[in-house]
Amino acid sequence: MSESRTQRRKRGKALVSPLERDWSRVVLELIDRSPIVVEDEAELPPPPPPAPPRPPALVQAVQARMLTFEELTAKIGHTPHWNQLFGKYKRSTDYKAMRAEITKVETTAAKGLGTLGDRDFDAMATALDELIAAAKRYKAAHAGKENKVGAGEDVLASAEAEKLALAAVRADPAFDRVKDHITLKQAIECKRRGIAFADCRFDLYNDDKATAVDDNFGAGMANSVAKITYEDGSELVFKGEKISDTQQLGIASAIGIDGGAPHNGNRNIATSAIAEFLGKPEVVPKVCYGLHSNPLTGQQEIGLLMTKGAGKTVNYKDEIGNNKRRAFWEPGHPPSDDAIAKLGEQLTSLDWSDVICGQQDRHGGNLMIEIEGDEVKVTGIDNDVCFGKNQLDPNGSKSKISSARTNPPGMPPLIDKKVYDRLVAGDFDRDLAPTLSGLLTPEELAAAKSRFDLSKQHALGLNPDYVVADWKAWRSPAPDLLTAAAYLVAAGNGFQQNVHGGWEPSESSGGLFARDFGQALRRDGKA
Amino acid sequence: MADSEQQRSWCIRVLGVDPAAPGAPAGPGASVLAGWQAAKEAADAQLDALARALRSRGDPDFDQIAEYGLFGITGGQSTVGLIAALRGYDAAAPAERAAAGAALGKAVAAWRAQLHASALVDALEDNPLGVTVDLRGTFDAAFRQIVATLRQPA
Amino acid sequence: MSGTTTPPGETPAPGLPSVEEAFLLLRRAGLRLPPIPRELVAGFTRTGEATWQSGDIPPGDLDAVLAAGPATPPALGFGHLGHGTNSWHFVYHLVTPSLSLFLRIPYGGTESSDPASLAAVNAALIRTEELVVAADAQAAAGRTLVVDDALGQSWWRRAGSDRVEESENPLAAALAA
Repeated sequence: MSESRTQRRKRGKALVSPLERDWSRVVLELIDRSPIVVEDEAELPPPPPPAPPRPPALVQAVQARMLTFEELTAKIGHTPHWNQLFGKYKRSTDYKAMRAEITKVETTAAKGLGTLGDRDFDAMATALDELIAAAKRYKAAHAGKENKVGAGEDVLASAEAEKLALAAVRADPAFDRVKDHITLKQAIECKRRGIAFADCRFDLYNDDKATAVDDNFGAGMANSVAKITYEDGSELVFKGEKISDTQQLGIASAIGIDGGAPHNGNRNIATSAIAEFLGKPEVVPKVCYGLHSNPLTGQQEIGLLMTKGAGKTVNYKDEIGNNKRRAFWEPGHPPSDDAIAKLGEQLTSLDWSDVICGQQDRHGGNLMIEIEGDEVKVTGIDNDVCFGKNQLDPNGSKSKISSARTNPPGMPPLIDKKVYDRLVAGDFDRDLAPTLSGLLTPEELAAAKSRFDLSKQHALGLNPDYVVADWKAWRSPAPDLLTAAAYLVAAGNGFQQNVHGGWEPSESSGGLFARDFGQALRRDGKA
Repeated sequence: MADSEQQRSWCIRVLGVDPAAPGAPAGPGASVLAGWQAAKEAADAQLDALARALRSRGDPDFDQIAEYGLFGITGGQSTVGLIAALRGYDAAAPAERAAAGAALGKAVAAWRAQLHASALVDALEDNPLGVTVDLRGTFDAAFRQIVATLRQPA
Repeated sequence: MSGTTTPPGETPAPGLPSVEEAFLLLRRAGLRLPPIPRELVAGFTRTGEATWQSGDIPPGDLDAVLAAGPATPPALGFGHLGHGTNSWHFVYHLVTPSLSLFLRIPYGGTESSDPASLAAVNAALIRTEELVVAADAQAAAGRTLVVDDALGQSWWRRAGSDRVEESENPLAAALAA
């Protein structure tokens, strides 16, 4: 059980009858005092650790200065009480004036999409119109009563959004692909998230086709990610797609992502399209939309399904709190030259994909690496913070946009021959716009075109000496004759020494390869 | 099954269960815990159906009921004593069966009394969502089997 | 404290009821309540699904913490923020006259939902309690600045110094100094 997840569902958009509402109130009150419904202590995780023994003076100073976990534990204990966790948010406002219309909308929306004809869609549109009118009347009738006006606004905004979404459902050319697998309500939910039905595989990826589910694959107070194995053998990661993101990263808003309609899933799909165009689809996850029941609400959610990146993330924090860059090999035992060459090729190709996408979140937790013998797998995950409408330059002044610089700065100093050939032969309007236009806003598309064209210019400038056909055999121009690994590492890790002997961000680098592997390769004589 | 009307009266009076009512008695050596678990699974399936119906409405009050209000009835700490008594009876050596049976009888009676007195159970069984929930019928059928087992000669 | 229930029909009041709520929700996630300086309790309130703050700086806003000057009023914020599958962090910041502290620690993502990740967050919160006291003791020299950021760099600057010191555990380094 999780209070955070139930409490976050604020009231305001309920579609219930008066009888049902009365019943739910009675039941909630009964739950509060029911002797046979009790908190199950066994479900609580182990208590957090207490503070270590401290000198008495320190204990006194901490107590005097702060309210701490220990003090609250002494006062409250560990177990939440029902009456502490219920009723903290506003109860549903009375929707009496709108209920009839809401019920009509709900009844139609619950039908299977494939069972609906034009008349049903027209009836739904009419019902939404009537609901919009009722919500407006309700608002006007309760002018000055903040709660009621707010409730009316909630219903009005929701109904208007649903009406737009309904039109988008009918207009989607891939309607037939999904119609037998979802309800009209779910179809509307898709459209409210900017999802094109062409990107949905509800036929393959739904809970009926799942053979194993781990709903706690990733879980925290405000996050839930499932790992699902399907009948076709694929093991995918599912993340519910949000309509809006009210607490988006500063960098996301800085590059122009609309928190009211972030369409993060589409950004991941667009990233996959860029990597595919460059001939390197394997450096980011394969993605599509699917359905999965949220274990906490029981509701079937629409979400993004991703192939799971192989290996481990580059960065992690150990148990005592030290920030660590993961050691992918023991000191003195570097990977083979073949593996190092593949690492360079894949990481640099991901760099190229990232600059075209305007990726701003390639920190070490969003980069997974597996090195086994001569084989290497690089996967850039969580491609949400990219394709911002404000970012026209692929080089994006990465060190200046945010204090939390997550990407290596500068344009990649090398380019794989295959990536080069595809990029210079490519035409954004011809090769990418048809795919991306269904995923991005017109402004975001224009910014992507700008980054693409500037990236192409940079690639042309690298030809011929820095276009790498063979990552093991390539050498930099004389007199240095550096290997690709040594060349990238020499280009820098994104920091430079300042006049005081300290380090400050630089404006260029050898990309992810230099940032995340430069130190270890240099230590082991490979760069 | 009760072997006399007196025994039947005792069962009705003390345990609140009529062993003569429909419900096949478990055979000698049958696990009373398994009987309880089967009933619990059946009840949970009903509650699961109700929870799904509640959650499908997208209403926070309904969500809270689905999340907090249902499965505690068949789980939670108040059930621990009953399950311990069921286990104790199953594990009891023949010489200890009588005492374990008496303890189980008390636990069943207490748990059943709570179930039948619960206004929450009333409300769930009388839900307006059209989902059939019959917790009392489901558990009483199991209790009849358990009581019948208790009354059988060792 | 346990009698601070907000009556049905009302929104939660700032202050102790929100502290209690934060304590309980964090506790259920296996997390310690981060230290809350007593002067910041009165303005303490829940701001999102799993975020709380007191003062003007929202949780996760490193730039605002770095921009805090001598006149910046005390501020506190913490919670669980992120996006995607693995870009999830426990964030905590505290700005007082003697300390600017920013923590962004991996937690609740696909690679950070294990006991080790919880332990790292709790360890940092325990150290923070001690750092607040230690920074107060150095208040005459100025403000100690500590940034432990999984999305960026980890460094600290002692009170009265211009020198930035990088560290893989700046909290521990600042405490040891």
